Amino acid sequence: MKKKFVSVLLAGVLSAASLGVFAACGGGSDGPITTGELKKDENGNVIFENVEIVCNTVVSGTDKDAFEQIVQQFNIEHRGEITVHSESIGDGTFETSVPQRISNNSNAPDLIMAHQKVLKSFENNDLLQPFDEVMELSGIEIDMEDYAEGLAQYSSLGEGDSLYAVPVDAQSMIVYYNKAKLEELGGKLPETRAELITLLQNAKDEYGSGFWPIAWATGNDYFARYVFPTAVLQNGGELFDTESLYAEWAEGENEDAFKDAIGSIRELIYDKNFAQYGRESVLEEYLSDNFLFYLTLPWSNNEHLSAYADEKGINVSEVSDYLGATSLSGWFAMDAVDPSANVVFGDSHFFAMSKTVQDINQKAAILEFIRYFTQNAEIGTQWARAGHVSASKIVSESQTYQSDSIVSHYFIHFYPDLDDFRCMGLTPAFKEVQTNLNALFVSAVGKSSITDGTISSEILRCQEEVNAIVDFIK
Amino acid sequence: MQVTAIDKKAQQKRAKRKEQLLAFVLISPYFIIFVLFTVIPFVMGFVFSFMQYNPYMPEQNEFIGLDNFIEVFDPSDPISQRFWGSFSTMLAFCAVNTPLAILVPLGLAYLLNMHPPGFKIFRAIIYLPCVISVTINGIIFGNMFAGSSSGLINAWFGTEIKWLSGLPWENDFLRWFVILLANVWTCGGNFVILAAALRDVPKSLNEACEMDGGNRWTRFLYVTLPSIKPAVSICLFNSLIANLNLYGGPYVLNEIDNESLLVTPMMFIQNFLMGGVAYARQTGYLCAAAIVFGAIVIILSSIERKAMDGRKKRTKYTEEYAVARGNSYMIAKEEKDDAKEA
Amino acid sequence: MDDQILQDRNTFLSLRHLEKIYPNGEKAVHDFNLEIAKNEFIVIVGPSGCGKSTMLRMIAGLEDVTAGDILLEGELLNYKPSKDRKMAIVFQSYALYPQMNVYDNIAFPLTINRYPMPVRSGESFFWGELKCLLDTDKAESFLGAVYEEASGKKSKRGRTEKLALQFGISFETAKLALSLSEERKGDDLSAALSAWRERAVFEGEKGREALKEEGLAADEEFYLINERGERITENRKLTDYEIKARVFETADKLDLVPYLDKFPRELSGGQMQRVALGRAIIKNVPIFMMDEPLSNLDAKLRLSMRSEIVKLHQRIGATTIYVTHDQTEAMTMATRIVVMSRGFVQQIGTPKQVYNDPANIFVARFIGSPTMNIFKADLDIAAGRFDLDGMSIEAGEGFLRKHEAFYQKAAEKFEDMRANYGPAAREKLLRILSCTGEYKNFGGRRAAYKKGLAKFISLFRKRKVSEEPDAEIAILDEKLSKLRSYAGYDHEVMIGIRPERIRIEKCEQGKDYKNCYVVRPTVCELLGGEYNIHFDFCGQDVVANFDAEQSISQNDEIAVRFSPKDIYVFDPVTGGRIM
Repeated sequence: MKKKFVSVLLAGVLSAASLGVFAACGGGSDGPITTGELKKDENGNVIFENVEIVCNTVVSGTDKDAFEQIVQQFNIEHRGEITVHSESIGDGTFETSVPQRISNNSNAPDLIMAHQKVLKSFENNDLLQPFDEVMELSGIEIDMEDYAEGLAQYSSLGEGDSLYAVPVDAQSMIVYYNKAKLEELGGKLPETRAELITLLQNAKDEYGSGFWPIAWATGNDYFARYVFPTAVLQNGGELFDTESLYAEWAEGENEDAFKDAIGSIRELIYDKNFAQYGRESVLEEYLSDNFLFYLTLPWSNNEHLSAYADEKGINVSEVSDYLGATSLSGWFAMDAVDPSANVVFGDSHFFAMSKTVQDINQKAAILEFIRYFTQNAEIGTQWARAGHVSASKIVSESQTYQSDSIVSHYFIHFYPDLDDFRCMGLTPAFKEVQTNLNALFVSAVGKSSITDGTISSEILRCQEEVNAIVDFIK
Repeated sequence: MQVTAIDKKAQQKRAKRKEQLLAFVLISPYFIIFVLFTVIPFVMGFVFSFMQYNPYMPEQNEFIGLDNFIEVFDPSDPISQRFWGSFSTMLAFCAVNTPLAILVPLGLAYLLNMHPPGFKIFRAIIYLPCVISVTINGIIFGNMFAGSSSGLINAWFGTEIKWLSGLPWENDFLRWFVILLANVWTCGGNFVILAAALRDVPKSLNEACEMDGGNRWTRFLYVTLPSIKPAVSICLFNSLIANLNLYGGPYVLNEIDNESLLVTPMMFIQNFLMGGVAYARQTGYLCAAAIVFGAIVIILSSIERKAMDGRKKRTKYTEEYAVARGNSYMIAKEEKDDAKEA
Repeated sequence: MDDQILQDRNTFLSLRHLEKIYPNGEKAVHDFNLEIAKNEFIVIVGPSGCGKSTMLRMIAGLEDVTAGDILLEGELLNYKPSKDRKMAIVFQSYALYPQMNVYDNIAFPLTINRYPMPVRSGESFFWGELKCLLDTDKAESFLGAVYEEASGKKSKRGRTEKLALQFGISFETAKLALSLSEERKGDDLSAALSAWRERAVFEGEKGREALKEEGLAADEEFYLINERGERITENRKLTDYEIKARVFETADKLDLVPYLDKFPRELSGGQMQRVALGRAIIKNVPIFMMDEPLSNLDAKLRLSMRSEIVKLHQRIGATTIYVTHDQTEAMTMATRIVVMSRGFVQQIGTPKQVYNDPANIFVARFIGSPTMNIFKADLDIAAGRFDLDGMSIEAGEGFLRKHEAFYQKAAEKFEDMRANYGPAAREKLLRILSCTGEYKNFGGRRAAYKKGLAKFISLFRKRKVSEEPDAEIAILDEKLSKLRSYAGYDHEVMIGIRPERIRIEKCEQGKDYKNCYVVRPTVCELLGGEYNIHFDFCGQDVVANFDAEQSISQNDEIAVRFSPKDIYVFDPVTGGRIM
């Protein structure tokens, strides 16, 4: 009897305590605040004195080194003024650990560098603060006109005119072409799909039916992530309705766009046998010059060049005599005059400020760093060499950038018109859109023969999957 | 020196309290951790399930009563459909795997109990796989059965069977086969328990049954099975709970082969709770789903416990006999018994 | 050592030259021969590890027989499975099924087996049974009971069963009776009685006619018979009611009725033992075997169960083979005792024979409580007497002759063994060693200690017993030389005397006790009606019995005398009895 009573009492106390805790928790925290004063010199430029800011970046892997080098350079140039501490948090845990840090204000970063697609969710949960106030107070201006249009359109994260996020770079699939073979086939890069098909057909005739002009690895995760949406967008498709956030892949014109995209890829693979399906890596073809076009990812550009150089026994700088660079724009557009026929889809990094920053000096320092990173031509070039083409026109139009060998030979051609670059946009269900596009790709393109009805049902099914989640988290 | 009653009682109380204090101190490390990491989160989750809770925007939290639970049980809500769909996945898997997890080790233990040559080595081999963690197990099997031609099995046979992929709506069983194999392979824990229980079956009981006319099957049914019933009960309970909570194995397999969409309720909940800031607003719903899941697991395991350990009904033979022979018989019997015991 | 007497009577169970060798080479039973007649109570007794349990299990079929034959009324049983051997066994640990209650435990053999039952000729059988019952003097009480039950409130099946159990008839007969009572309500008893009788006869005849048409015949009790007049039997499982009737009967015999619903874990040792007995009895087999059933019970219970088992044996009339290590049980319960040691049979005989006429020193030491006192003595051949520690005992007439013959035969045997040393000779040597108890670890198994790879490989192999012919030959030589030196010369012998045969007188002052040994006792144990007096003699502790009418303590002096006709003389080399 007594024991039962004690345990019931304990349970009751615990529940009461926790309820009390949550009631208190629900008190609500305040919005971002600004403290402190800025010091300015006679020209109106801000004077920084030993300001420290913490940056959490989603960049990891080999490009992490490039990022940290840039940070170090910044720290050296601004010694005594601003010090940036950068921490690299991998893609898998970024979306859970950084929000927790910000909302609990424990170890919270001041500046975050994340993929564009997650930033809307950050903003939805009140984790960010806009740059407007600090831009006004400090005079450090960042003008979205200076940035690629396709990316700058998301800088407000849907909140009117405020500036929440600054685009840094863009990544999508890059395409090498074999200069020797192209010469033999006429030496002209295709600009529309029709020209592409003709060129590829000539290649097949020239080199035999066993030759695959396009070497791409559809088994690689990023292929479906980048190439398939590119195809969809090039055919005028829309990944989701920007107002309602629902996917409308099986509705009317959108369905046609999807079908065209699927059809265009299928044509290349199954009808015309220009490319294969299912390969995980096509490195052998690349190294043995057994290709006309070779697709890979931008951050492995350097490795690819050196591997090719080793294979041929030449210097890396001479590789550009053998390999050229081009992009996917226009490849999948069934209708060449569609306004979005040259669109390329990929990921993009953005800078944003967390809501925990209070000191105006820190906020200004953040702006300074952002300006350094995205508007300094030298830095922009460095970052591009690591595989991330700059999103800022100031950089891309600068002499330093354009005269750099790697950039000029490759990156400028990977993304010919930065205004044509697209990324996911402002939806909280980005993960589902990505996964289901992937699934749709596998089911629609994976089989060698498929009926139109099946394709339609697959599109519908994937759409419903996305919408179920959109319903859930809207 | 007189020891008064009051002194005695006070001393007794002090001694007892000292003992209790010592006991409490010894338990406290575990107890504290238990309260901090199990009880408090459980209570928090329980409270969250009644609220619209967003960990990042506390000012939006409000108490909404049973709305979350209603949404969980709402058949038209697509997410709830997915939740209950994962349930059916898990139950189907459970129904197949749990008997296997008992029968396969039982069969192996029975065979090994006959001490074939080299049985000690077999014992070690059978137990070994279960010390590997779930993740590594999943990675091994995932790579063995990878769908592309470079997966071990495919490379060996020269085929390109997509073992791990498969869309549930297309009647795929290959992926189930892989997961079942991965689970049965780690049946070593059950095997050890059942082998020990089989060794404890009294030999004379087997011989008595043999003399009474029992063949091998009768002996198994009437002697072996009832003797190992406690062990089987424990193994069944453990296996049932582990299968209901299935999470690690399919998760790793999903990671390896992205084409698959195998989801159990635990994975469903984890996917969203740890999925990132986009799902933060639905924490309340997820907590409600977790509570519902937990309640169902408790119900299922209670049913299992009841079924295994239920008490038999008492028969009434003595009464029947007494009735048949008449009351005089019982009286005479009692007199005889009394005389004997005296 | 065959018992010649029995070979003439018709033996029921015959065990010939049984041997048991385990796979690792160890021999547990050597050349066991025994002929058992019907209704005998055979007790196999011996110390632990002498092979008696193995023997029992071989007969039961739980162990394979390596060599030899088991014959039941001339039928070879070696390769028959246990259940076909018509034997029931009661184990030391009772071996009750823990998940079943007592009723189910007892009923178990009946539920899983088919039994040959005479075939009833349909409904007419029950009419016949009814008529039989009505012809007895219980008819009126039967009728009364039927009419009483007819108006009963319980389930029909329960009432029918009650009637059937009460009057010892079949279930269906009771059902017929109940239905008859329904038809003829309100009749007075005598009228009903005659009416029923008529009906029964009528139905019986009708049944017989029907059978004849089908070409079948039935005897008076309405069991089907074949052309020769024997009852046709079929193998079938017993019905629930039949099982119930038998279980009740058995439980009644063993006083287990109050416990029928209990589970083994709720019973005491004695009750569990009785349940095991019940389970054996209900099989209705001619041979019972018991493997130390009373070892787990407390002393008082053991006494009562001993007499119960004997009474049961007499009542049921089955042949019983009983294994124990307690010689008291053997002496009190057996019709014949088999004494075993280390796998060899030492003696077979009735309790009286084994007690008064032991064949060798082992049997003499083993049987009898307190144990027989054995002394080393010097034989003076010329004087014809034994000298022990100050006392001399006359050897008696004929001793020298027996002595001569004994040692001559022994020496011949040993020389023969030594000359042709082989497995047979080894057997004989082991037999002798089993009696004397020397070289306890001899002939036992010793597995070599292996290391490394050899050990790994040995995991896959079973261990073998090592043999050492050299050591054995050395022992043989030693014994042979001793035997040769004994023939015709003075040598050491072993003298044995039972405690109750030692003549003890309380020393009185002044009396002269010549040729007695005067000593003070070390311990006087009062058992109630007699004393066990311990005193030192010949360097060892000797026990003697003394009537308790006179009281004795350690302060009294006693005079001890051995009478020549009470002593047994044993040969120290072979353990055999000389006289």
